[in-house]
Amino acid sequence: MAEPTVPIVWYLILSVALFSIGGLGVLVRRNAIVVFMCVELMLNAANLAFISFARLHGDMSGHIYVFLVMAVAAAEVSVGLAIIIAVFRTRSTINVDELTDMSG
Amino acid sequence: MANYGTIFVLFLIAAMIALILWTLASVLGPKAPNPRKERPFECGNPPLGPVVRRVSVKFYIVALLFIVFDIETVFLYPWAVIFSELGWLGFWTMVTFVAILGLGLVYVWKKGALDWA
Amino acid sequence: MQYLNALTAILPVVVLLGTAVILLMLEVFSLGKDRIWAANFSLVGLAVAFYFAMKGLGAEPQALFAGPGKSAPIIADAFGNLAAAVMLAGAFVAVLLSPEYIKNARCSSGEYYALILFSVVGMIVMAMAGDLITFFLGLEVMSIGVYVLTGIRRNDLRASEAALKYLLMGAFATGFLLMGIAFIYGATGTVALPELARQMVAPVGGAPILVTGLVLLLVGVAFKVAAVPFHLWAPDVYEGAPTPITGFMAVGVKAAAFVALVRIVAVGFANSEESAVVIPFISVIAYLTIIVGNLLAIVQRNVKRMLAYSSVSHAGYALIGVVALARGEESAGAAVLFYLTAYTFMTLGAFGVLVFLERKEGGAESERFGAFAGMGYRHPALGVAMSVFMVALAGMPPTGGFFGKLYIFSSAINAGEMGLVFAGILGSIISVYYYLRVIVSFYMVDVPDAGPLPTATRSRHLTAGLIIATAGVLTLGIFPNQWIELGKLAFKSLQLG
Repeated sequence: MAEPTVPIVWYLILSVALFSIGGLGVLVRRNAIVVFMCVELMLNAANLAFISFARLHGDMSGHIYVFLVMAVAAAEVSVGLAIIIAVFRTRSTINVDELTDMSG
Repeated sequence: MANYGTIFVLFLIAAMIALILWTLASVLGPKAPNPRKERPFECGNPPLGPVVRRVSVKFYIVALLFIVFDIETVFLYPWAVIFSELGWLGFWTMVTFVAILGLGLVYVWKKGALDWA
Repeated sequence: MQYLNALTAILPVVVLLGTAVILLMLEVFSLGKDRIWAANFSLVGLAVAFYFAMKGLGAEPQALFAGPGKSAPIIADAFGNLAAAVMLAGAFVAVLLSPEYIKNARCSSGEYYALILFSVVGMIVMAMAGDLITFFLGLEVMSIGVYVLTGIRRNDLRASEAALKYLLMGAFATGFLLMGIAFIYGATGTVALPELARQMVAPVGGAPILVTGLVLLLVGVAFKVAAVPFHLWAPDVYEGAPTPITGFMAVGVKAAAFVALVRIVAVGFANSEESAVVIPFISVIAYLTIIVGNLLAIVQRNVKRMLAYSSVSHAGYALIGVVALARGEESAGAAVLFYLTAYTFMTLGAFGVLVFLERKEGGAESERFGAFAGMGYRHPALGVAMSVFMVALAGMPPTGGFFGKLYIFSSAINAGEMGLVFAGILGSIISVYYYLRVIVSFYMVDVPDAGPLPTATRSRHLTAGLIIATAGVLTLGIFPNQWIELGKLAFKSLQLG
């Protein structure tokens, strides 16, 4: 049964779009948790790119890289949320615009 | 696409059953509205306080730990699939990995992050 | 046994990991209330790891942990071991600076030392990475450790703010880096460095994708080494982090990133048309980093922030070496390694002096230039040490800083990068002003009512750290040949692997 497959390039366009949305979100959003979610979006965009390229090259390694990236992202999320909690406890805000104790 | 067609039919049937039951209930059921009945329902009591409440930080700690330990297990699946090809190198590598993970669990446990009291 | 053989080849990593895990276990089973044991224990671990790294210099390059039919993720060669030795020495000094700081800041955390060791593991993995994914994993192991260390004083406003900024910017950079690796993988079908080099010889199908990938990868690395215009997080993070950790990350993160960059450029992307396209991109970053870093350092009033900008500008000098290397000038590899070694000692030494001076007064006030007035007379040895570090950072003889710049600039001249050399010399001249300002304020007239004197330190650790840093800076300045020859030998091992 011949399945109509979606061309790889569409996945790449989606991946680049997600990456750009994430990157833009980091630059314009002010809530630390939302900024962090945008970063995760960027990582997942890269994951999608890895998977599509792995399919393109017929190479399983790309799939394993995604597992590694997911594990790293999970560790980063844990540390990130912990730091956000620490900031919230000392200042009662996680708006990144209000973090201005240091400048210059 | 034929296989997806059956799934689509299933969705359609599920939606229709839900729609029919809902319509029957609203048409056939007796209605006697009064202000008391119109209020939002919260286990018989009048609603108290705001909907968004602060959650104890303990939930966050458990959630953080869960994310880490949950994702680490993802490595076990591909490893198990090609276990025999990897040989002893793969076996001992994974033993080391799980041992370090286990020590992490011991650390978390003794640190008291799993205590709910 | 294959596994044991592989572990033997990376003994520095095994020792560090073991030490760190044991530290954590000792911490939770509360076998020591006195925090100094944790410092001493990590020092022992670092020293043993250093011994094995130096021993590994003579070994044949080994490709380790390769799956069936796959390329090796870890390559233990002389280059990786030499770089590991530099990072271990840096971590050793950073740990020596820590007990005094921890005592005064009351941030008693046994995890502190374990996290330093974990970060060093990440750095060594970066230095020995045989493919881009392993490089990424090492980078993250290192970064996550440093994020936590930055915010380890949880109740301090500046520390938690610094940690959040560092984390968000670091994670942002990770996104770029990873996307870059994905694109390189897409263009070539591999992430292994030797395999990439083979792919490059034949014309690559997806050249624009490859160039995009390289640029994204470089942006990610530029964030990590705080190169302009990706440096905006650095001053705040450097100011808010605990001072020994500021030194550690200024030194370790940069050294690891540059060493990995040298390996990636030398092994993966040597002699390829596509990667030559991105050389102007690196050059522009290098120009901006040197000029902007030095100019912003001038206007700082807080010494910690001044050192932050100075470390930005030093990343620029190291980038000159990377450009020369990418142009095919092989002496640049050893030059970058030499520069990083000298930079490790002089920067950690400067932060060590700050640890000493911060002891009495807390907060940002004790880090201002004015707070140092007359320190050179009250603590003559400290004054001499700080002068040595500042002279070295400014790149004047007879210090390692001078020869570091000399080797970098001469390799750049060989590569025909006169513009970068000119910018580097200009930046060094600007930097003399703000480094000498520190020395001048040290020897300004003693202010009689400057408040209670910080007494001479009783911390043997801090003293030892400062002595090692001074000795390192001066040794590299007086006997530079031995180290640069070692660097050249190590660089040769890259081509063997």
